[in-house]
Amino acid sequence: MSKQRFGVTEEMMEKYSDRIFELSLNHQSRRGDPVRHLDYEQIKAQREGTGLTDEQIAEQLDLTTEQVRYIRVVLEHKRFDNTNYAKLFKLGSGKRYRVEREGTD
Amino acid sequence: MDQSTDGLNIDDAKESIFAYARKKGALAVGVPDLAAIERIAPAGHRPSDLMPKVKSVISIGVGGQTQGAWGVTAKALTFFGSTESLAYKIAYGMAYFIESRFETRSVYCPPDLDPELGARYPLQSVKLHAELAGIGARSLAGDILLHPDYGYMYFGSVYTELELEPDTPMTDNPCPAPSCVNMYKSTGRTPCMKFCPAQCLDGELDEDGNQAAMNYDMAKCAEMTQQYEVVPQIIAEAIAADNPQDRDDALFGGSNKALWYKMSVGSGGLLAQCFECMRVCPIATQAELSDPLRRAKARRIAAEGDST
Repeated sequence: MSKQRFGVTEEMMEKYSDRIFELSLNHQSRRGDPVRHLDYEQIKAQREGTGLTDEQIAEQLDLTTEQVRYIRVVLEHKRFDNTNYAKLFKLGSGKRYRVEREGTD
Repeated sequence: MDQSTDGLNIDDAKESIFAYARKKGALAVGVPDLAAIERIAPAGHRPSDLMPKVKSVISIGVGGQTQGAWGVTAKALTFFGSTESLAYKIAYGMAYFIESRFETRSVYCPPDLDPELGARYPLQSVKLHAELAGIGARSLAGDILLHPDYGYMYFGSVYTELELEPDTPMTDNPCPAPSCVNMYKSTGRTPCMKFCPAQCLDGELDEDGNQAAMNYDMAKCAEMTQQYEVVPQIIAEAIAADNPQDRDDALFGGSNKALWYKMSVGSGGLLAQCFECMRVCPIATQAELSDPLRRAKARRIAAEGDST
């Protein structure tokens, strides 16, 4: 992938990053249980919340699919906090995560 | 339906396919409505995008880990918690079974990521297949499917040109369990929300204790469950290091070094490595047939009942 090849600029990254991330599968929200109930009206209405494809996001933001994909994939690794994983080393065997203990170790 | 085509009774064929899956170790099998999948899945991720002449999808669910596994350290579970390989093995074999038994084209549906789309978009949604096939319902734990009897399962799918009668989604959703509703009423959270180490789960229950809203921060979840995404990051840090010591630290420091080991042993040590939401889920851990121990007990009781 090439940033220049797809015409992705820094301004574009700044303007669209949060929205692209929010619309992608990275954040998912659902109300009720529309798929199980085969409630197609609700499935359609909630599509944005349950996560869009790059094509769908591109259409909504008037970008190309490649631009959306480039920005999304870059964000997925830039926003990835690789220190979180170590939390797992202290859990299990009766020990549960507690948000109130965060930062006390 | 009692459709016969070229001497093939389609109901018998479905029964035979289901029997194959169960014999190989599947706990649940179902046929989702293909038209519904095509309508719900986005363009590019529909069964017909993968297999243009597909007529049916078969969804297979296998059980999660042993009861003992829920009591071990999270560190240990990262290596063996997932049991998805059995689902894939059965689905793979089923495609061969259908072709050889019914002389109809079939294919194992790859449950993998779409290679064009980075690390977080699947080629096809085996979850959607399982939900529409009625062998799982979406939970508050990031839409992980749960089954009222088998709890937490892993899923695989087969696509075939054999036209099978579809099943229907579950009538009831087992999530949230009554104990989770009680906890939500007193604290505003369910166990999966409270004990998630990434704090990636949120949701609301309605007055009747049913799911009203589910919110899932998949990006945060990935930090615990998709450790393979760190590999290029580590390599990039090593390349960018100003001196040999920093380069060594990036490649060999702390838990990073373990990644090279995990890479060499395969996906079992790299995928879906966090089970903390399921560890505290009463459906995943306490459903009547959720682990081999409970299933053995149920079989024994049934056998004792038969002999009296």
